[in-house]
Amino acid sequence: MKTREQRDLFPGALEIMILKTLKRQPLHGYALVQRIKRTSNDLLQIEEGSLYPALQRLLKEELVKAEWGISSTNRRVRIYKLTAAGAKHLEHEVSRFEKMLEGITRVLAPGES
Amino acid sequence: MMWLNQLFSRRRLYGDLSEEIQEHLEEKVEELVAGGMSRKEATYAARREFGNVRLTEEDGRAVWRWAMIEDLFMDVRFGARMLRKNPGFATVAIVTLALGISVNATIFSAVNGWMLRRPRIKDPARVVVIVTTDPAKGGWGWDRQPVSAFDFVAWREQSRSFEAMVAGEPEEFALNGEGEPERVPGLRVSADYFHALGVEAALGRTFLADEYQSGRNRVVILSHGLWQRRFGSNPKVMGEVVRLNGEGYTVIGVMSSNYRIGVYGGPELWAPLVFPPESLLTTARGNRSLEVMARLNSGASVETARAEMAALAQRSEQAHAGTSKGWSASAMSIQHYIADEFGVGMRLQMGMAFFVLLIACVNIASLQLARGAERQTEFAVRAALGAGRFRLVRQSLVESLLIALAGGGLGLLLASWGVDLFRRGLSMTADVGSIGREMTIDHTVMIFTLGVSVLAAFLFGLMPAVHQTALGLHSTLKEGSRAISQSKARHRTQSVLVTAEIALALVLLIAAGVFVQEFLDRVQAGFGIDSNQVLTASISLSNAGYKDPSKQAAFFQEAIQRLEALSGVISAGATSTLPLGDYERSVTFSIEGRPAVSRTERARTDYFAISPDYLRTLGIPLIRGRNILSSDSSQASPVVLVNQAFVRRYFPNEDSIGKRIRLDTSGLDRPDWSEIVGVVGDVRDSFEQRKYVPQAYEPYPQRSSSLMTLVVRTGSDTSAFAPMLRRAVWGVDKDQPIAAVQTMNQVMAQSGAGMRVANIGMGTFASLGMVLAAVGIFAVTAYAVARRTHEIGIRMALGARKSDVLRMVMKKGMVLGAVGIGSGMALAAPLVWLKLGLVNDDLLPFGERGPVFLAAVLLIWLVALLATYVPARRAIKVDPIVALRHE
Repeated sequence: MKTREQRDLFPGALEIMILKTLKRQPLHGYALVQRIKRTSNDLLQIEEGSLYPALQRLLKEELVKAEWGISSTNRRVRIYKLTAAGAKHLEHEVSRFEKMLEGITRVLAPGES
Repeated sequence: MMWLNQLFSRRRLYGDLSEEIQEHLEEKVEELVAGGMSRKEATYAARREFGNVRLTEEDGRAVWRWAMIEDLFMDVRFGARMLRKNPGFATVAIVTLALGISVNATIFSAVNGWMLRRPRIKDPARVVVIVTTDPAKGGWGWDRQPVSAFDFVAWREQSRSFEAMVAGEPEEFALNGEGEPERVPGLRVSADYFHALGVEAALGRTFLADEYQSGRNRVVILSHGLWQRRFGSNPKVMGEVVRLNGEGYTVIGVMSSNYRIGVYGGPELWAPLVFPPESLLTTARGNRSLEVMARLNSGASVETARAEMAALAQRSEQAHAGTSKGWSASAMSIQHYIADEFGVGMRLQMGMAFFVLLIACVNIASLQLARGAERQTEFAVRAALGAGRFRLVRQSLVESLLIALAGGGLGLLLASWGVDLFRRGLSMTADVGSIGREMTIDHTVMIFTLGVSVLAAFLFGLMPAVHQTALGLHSTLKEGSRAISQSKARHRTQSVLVTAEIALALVLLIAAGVFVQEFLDRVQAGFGIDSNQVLTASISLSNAGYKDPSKQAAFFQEAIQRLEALSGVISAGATSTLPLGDYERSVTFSIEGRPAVSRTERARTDYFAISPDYLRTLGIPLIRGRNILSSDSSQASPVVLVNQAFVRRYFPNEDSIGKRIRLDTSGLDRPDWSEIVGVVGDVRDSFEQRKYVPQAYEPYPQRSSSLMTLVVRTGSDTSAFAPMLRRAVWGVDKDQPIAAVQTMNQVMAQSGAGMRVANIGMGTFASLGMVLAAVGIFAVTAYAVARRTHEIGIRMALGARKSDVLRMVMKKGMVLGAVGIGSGMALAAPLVWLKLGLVNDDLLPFGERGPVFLAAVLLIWLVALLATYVPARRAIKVDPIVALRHE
């Protein structure tokens, strides 16, 4: 049984990726998974299923909203869209992530001690 | 209302999620098929890529749930199902608990009604009662006495802690007018009384400042009850003149029906209190009759006020040396004061009721443990499927809570019946009958019951819950299928529970036994009088026409003569104090020829002013000397009779007849000595009193009193004689009110009513406790025997005799009984040293109650023996073949 830590890179990483992807365009679940996989060059080995609980969390916090619609392949799908709150949250999270990354990079940088 | 929306849209949300996941998988499959994979392979691949569908769905749903609450609901549903599946266990547990809770709820409804109710005045927390304390009567609140007018006036002036200090002086008024004359309890109140308490009249007004001047103080405020009863709720009564004590008083107001301070009846009318000049003399400092209350000012607390009052009392003592030596003063919150009226007795009853609940809880806990065998397998399976320890404990506790709530509900029902019973017991007397009405099951009692139920759930539920879930999987699964004997841990816990139960029951039995014994002692002791066929009527000559003592004497003399003249009357008399009926009156006295001491240090004796035929009427025997004669008039030389207890205490080795004593019946020392002319039998003053105390009788013409009780011995039907008694008295003065006319037997029954009700309560608790403990012992032994049937079968098959088996089974019960009794004695030991000040000057000597301890121990031992024997008998009747086939 995989724990949540293994599925996620770090807490909240999956959510950021979802929000970022949805910012570009509204997508349904399957397309969202494929998009994330592709853009990360399949570096991120995420289970496709793990996306859905994350989406439910975002739905509950009203960072995204969902509507049933018809996909390009004529399939009934639920299309997720970023809300205004979601956009704001993403911005905040990204800047936080960058700061953290900067910190980690400095610590890991060679030669400076 | 976001969450509410979510709650109702959840089903749809879940549906969406499932459908979405399904669509996801199908899309994936189609894509893979389009890429050249077979459909079957594609389906597997899609699933592999996706992960656990079920778990994903569950995780997704979990986002929307309040996990704790929903799990709890599940536990409740499951718990209810478990109880339905075990109706026997559920019924026994609920009924047991209901019994335990009902006694607590009943007692608490009394405590709530009497001790916790707030007085209906403004901001009662800031109002204190001021009392003086008698150095001769230590502790338990029995030393509290009223305040004298002298001290009140001084302290009102000097104290700094209070916004206002006010006083009330109880007085009975004779109310004349339409209908029969009536005696009404009233209160004369000092200036600002109602203002200080923050209460207003419901109709009219309260007293004005100038109505406290002599001559303008003939005004009266009626209680709502009196106004309804006597004046038909007529608002026109305002401004009318009513006759009180033969004088006209103008009605100026009616108080609200809400207004009430204590729990006892309270006054029915109020009049201004004007201090007569003689009450403010130093010599009157000892005349304590005022109930003083004060409202704290913003800077003061009850504690600072108490300290100030003690200091003021000390200052008064120094300033007026020789008066009230050693007396102090104190202040306490009014609620505290009211609560103390019920003091130790109520607290003891609460304690006993709680013990009953504890025993009930122990019973249920041990029942649950016994059931644990079946449940443990269930718990082990659930644990194996992944339920956490916390989850298991919680589920077990939820079951306990369900039992407790059902038990609480049923208990409340039983309590309403118990309250009814209590009230009926209390309705014996008018005095305590009124407090019976204060006992109801209101919302406070319900909240209390709920609280007690939840507490009980934890008491009986936590230990088995932890216990059942504690054992590892292996031991449980090993034990579960084929148990030859119980596991050691459960065995031990059960033994501890039974022991505790026996110990608790023993303490209950001892405490109740001591009280019941006290009660029986008093019933058997006799009262020193022949109460059969005696009618009594209390008369207070408060009308203005009787100010002159000779008029008072003349009234009673004529009333007695008229009564004696009636046919059917054997004898008639009068006394200033009716034993068992009135509060005893005690006075200090000196003996001629012995060293003179100051008044506060003199010996005390009960005091009665009587007519010549009083002793004969009540059947009090003359032991030596002569009786009081009608020739002992106010002109003759003063004489006195004393009882045997008086002689024993004060003339142990000499002849008392002919000695002279001086009774301090008035504020000033009397110049004359009274000669002891006779010795009479001892009479008990009150039901509670255990020992005879010194008593002295003086002829009433020599010491007249305005308040007397007529006693009449009749030949035939005593209570039917009441109307004739009234007519005879009204023949002397038609305006004279007569308070309750009662037979002496009624007076005696009322005197013991309070104690009897308390005893019924204690007896109920003790028997309940004992029965519950017996059931507990029985159940545990029976269960142990049942579990050992297999073992017993083997033993008997191998040749054990029946007596061996019987001994083996009984031994365990007896060991438990012995340990329980030992620990019970240890628990009860403090009772030996506990002196309960239930009765003034008359402490209950627990230490002298060895036989009660012994009887309680024997009884518990017998119960334990029987509770073990019955299941043990069953064990030896076991057929070895059947036993071996068992399980």
